[in-house]
Amino acid sequence: MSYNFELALRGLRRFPKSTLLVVLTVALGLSACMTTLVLLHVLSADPLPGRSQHLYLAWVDTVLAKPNNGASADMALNGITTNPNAYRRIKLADAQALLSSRRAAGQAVVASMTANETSDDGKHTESLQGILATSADFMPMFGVALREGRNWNAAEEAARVPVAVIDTDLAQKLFGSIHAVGRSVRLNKTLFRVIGVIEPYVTQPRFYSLNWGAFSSDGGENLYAPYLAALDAGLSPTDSDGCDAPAEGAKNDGDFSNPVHCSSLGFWVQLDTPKQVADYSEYLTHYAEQQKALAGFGKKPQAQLFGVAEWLKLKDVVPQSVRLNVWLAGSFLLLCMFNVAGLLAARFLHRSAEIGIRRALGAPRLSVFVQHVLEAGAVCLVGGVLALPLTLLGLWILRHQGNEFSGLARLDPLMFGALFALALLVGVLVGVVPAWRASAVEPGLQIKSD
Amino acid sequence: MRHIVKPLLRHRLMPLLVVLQVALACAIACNAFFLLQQRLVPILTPDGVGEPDQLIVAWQIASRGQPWPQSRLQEVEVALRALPGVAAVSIAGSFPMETTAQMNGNVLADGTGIRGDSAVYIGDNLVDTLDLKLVAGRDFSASEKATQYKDVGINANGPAIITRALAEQLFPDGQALGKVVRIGDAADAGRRTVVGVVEHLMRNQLGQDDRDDIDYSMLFPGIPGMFPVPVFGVRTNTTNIERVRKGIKATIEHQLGNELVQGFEPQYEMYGHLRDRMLARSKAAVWLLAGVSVVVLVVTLAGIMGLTSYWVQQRTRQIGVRRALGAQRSHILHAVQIENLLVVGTGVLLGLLAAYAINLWLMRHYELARLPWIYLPLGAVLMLVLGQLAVLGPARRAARVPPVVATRAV
Repeated sequence: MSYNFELALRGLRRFPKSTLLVVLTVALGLSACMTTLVLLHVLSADPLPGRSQHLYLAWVDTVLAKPNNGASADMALNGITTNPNAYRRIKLADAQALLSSRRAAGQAVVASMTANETSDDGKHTESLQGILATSADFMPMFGVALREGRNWNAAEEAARVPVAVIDTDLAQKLFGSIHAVGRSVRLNKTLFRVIGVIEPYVTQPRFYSLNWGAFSSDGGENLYAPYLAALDAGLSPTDSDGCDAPAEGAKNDGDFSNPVHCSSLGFWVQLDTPKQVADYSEYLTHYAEQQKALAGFGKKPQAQLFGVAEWLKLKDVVPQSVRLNVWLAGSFLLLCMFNVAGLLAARFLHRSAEIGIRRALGAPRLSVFVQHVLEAGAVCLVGGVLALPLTLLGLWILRHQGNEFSGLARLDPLMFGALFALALLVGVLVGVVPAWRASAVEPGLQIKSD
Repeated sequence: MRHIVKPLLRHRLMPLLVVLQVALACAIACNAFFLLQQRLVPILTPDGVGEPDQLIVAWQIASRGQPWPQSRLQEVEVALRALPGVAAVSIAGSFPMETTAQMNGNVLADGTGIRGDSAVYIGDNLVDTLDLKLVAGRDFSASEKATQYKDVGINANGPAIITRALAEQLFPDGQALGKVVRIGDAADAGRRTVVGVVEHLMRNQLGQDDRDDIDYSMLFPGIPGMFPVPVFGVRTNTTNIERVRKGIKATIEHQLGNELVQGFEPQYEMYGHLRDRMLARSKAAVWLLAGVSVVVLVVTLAGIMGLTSYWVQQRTRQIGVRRALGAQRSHILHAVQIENLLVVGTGVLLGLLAAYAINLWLMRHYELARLPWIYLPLGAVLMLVLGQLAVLGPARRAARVPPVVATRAV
């Protein structure tokens, strides 16, 4: 074996130009393929491993307005379309009814809001920050780890107590220290008492609140508050999936996101067993059927339950262009492989005479075959090594493309290993046919000719 | 011909590898060029805006609390118009190349029901401000421009100016003026009478790929109501743009400064900057695809070259024999070239089939458009030329083989 290996290396050194060409081709193909795969891997990874399979988005349609179908005109602000039911959110009354039924192991209202955050001494203000208005169950359900203090409880939530959990970044910015429990943050005119501090929390993609974009490079919301207290403070979700039609003759008040009459609150539940899922689904359907007022608007009762993976697929979270680029790069790698196979075959058959002599001297066919596969594998491994800096370069270019998600494109150890596995696989695949042809050389004939 | 085909069939591996390589490269190149062309569409399509260096856009003007009433916006407009060096001002809901607010309508021609997906721009003086080129009809009248809508105004009745592309789509008979466009299917959908046609106006929402409807836009006169993020377009007639820009900034800060959302600074940008930013993603994709295409071609070229030179080298003696038997240099040269043409041609045929199949598959899974047939002959010619280029060196080397080689000992 080691003799075969030595022969393979010797073979590589014999034609340095063609070796260089092969190595470069392999490196180009591998790095193109790897760059696109890394991005796809990052974007389609499970956002919350171990928990996401138990989380479901619950939705019932209770918007009192004519369904909007077929041709129509619509408007989008900040890329947010007022597309009916785009993010499957619900109105406040329904959220409260579903919450109080406590049919699921955990349930949380989720709504992204913005406000200026001011420290209690008024010295520091962070303007237009993302705030997550949610329920007591959010942190245990979504695995948010507390660093200090505590989460709020159901009683505080029901009593609309203005409390908040902030992340260490915000604590540092507003109070100069992460020990912020006991201080307060002013949102609009209301002081929210800080009862807990967490590490900055965000999942990629931010599946629980996709209306702000699926991938965030800024770290997500930095303040979590009970949703009722946030609404009391005059905060409001930034957009909605549709509003009740204004009463006859009334003027539209221009408020398109007030959860009282617009569907602007996401509702997530935790369901641990298939039976729970089935039960909850049935409960939702039953809840939707009770909405008699909808019939007047020509709507059928609608209720849906989405698992996280299903929800991400429905919302096309991984951009099509990313998948398309993987196909493009994959076919390019295939082209490189054909190319390399051809170059290797040419090089192996070039030494037919030499192979013939080896065979005549008693080298078994298998040994010749192994030698050449080894040679191909070695070339491709070298190509793989060269592909690593090229891949890093490719990812660097991706990060500077300015897409919302491109900042996430980084090589992790898993993909690093995958690169070398791929290089080895390519080497063996590429080497098999030329090596087989080389090993098929008849011993005697070659000595005779040339 | 037989003396060219026969050796190809006897030693199958080399020609087969070339065929496979060419087929794959041809399939990739056709589809990559098609994607490239799609990404080029927004970059190459004229946006219709005249003199972009004389247009300043004030955007990201967001009101704290309730949106400003229209009368308030008109006061600002009057103040802007009074600035020295300002030729035209328009309030607008959405603006070309500015994506904060996008208005789109799935509209249809009244009567025939022909549909088109169109962008909608609502503003009181957009034709002058954007310096659009009217090719038929008229601009809105003063009274039409003064329309104040109760809501945003997309669904209201009134007049409209549409682009020529949209006019041709909705009214194929060429008579758009005076016809009615319905903004949607609903019985109470807005009805817009076409009073003018402009040459071009690009929409401010670009899809993943190019869209045939990139130049489908409609202009409605008037000022949108209850609108949270109004835009002001200001056309100047001076060379001192910076002074006008400062004037606009000072005016808007003076007029609306106390009512702005804090931490959300209004932007006063040249239209050209907006355009560059909006097209940056398309440009990046174009560079990427162009790079991939070039690398694919180079790799293929190198591959064919390497294989052919080995293939020629292997047959040096046969070539020598042919030369000794009286073949001219040009015969050998042409023989190698024709051989390459045959091999590459076979690859191209396979590649065109594959390109078409890949495109069908992409259409099914990625909502891509159909590959226009013209790409297939173009891809084929490109591959054949590439093959001839690659074979030129080895063929000339073959032609130089002296007849004496044939006499050397075996």
